[in-house]
Amino acid sequence: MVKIEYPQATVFQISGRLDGSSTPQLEKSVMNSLEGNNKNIIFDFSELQYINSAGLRILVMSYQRLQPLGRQVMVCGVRDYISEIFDISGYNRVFLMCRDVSQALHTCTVMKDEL
Amino acid sequence: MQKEKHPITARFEFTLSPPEENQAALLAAIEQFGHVHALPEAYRYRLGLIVDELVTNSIVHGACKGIDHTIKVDILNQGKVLIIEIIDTGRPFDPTTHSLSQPCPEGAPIVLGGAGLCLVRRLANQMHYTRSKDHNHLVISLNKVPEENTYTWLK
Repeated sequence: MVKIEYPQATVFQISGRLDGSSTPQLEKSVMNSLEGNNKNIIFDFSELQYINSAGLRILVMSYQRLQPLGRQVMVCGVRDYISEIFDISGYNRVFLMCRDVSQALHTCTVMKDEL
Repeated sequence: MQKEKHPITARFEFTLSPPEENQAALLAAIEQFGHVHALPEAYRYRLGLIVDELVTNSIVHGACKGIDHTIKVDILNQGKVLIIEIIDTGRPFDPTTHSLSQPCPEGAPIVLGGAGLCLVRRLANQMHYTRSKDHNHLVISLNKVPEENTYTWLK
């Protein structure tokens, strides 16, 4: 997992598997980030090969923390075969789904300008 | 179920005892089974996710004090369909009764729990549950899918 700070968002790059055994590390890092600032969060899943409900739970927790503050949880780079679970769970309506990090960061900037 | 209609082209068997120590090995073995039998990526993902969620559910909610908790996973590759059988010694639990509702239905507050079983119910083509001789016995059929999915990104 790699964490990158931008002025408008914190990006978490996740590679490999996001399941019951790997989520505690990400959860800790995301929660630390949420304690420290109220920036948008971008999950870069372009190198993600597998995610289950434990991984999705972290996205939901982030959303529950940020949404009341008017911030966004953005998900980008999801592979086609994984995108299906965002559709069937309805999470694609909750998180902003972006093609890549550049598009997600641009969207953050546009949203800030519109406020 | 479709179990009797198609010849078996491959069989996978794995017993988890104790389950919590063997789950990662099970999932790795299923991924390997999918590669060996050239299952499409999307199909391998669905297969792994269904087994992962059901085994996790049995480990977290099914174990009873004083009872040897064992989970057995069989997968039959019948060409156009995979038959997944999960037999465990945990508490009686019928996943087919779990709500099909999305964890975040349109216009309603987002819900944290229950997403795993919802995904299983929506991904599986058929599910059949029985309870006999202190075992949960779940049979799931998963039809092979073409890799047609192309995601619509934020415009």
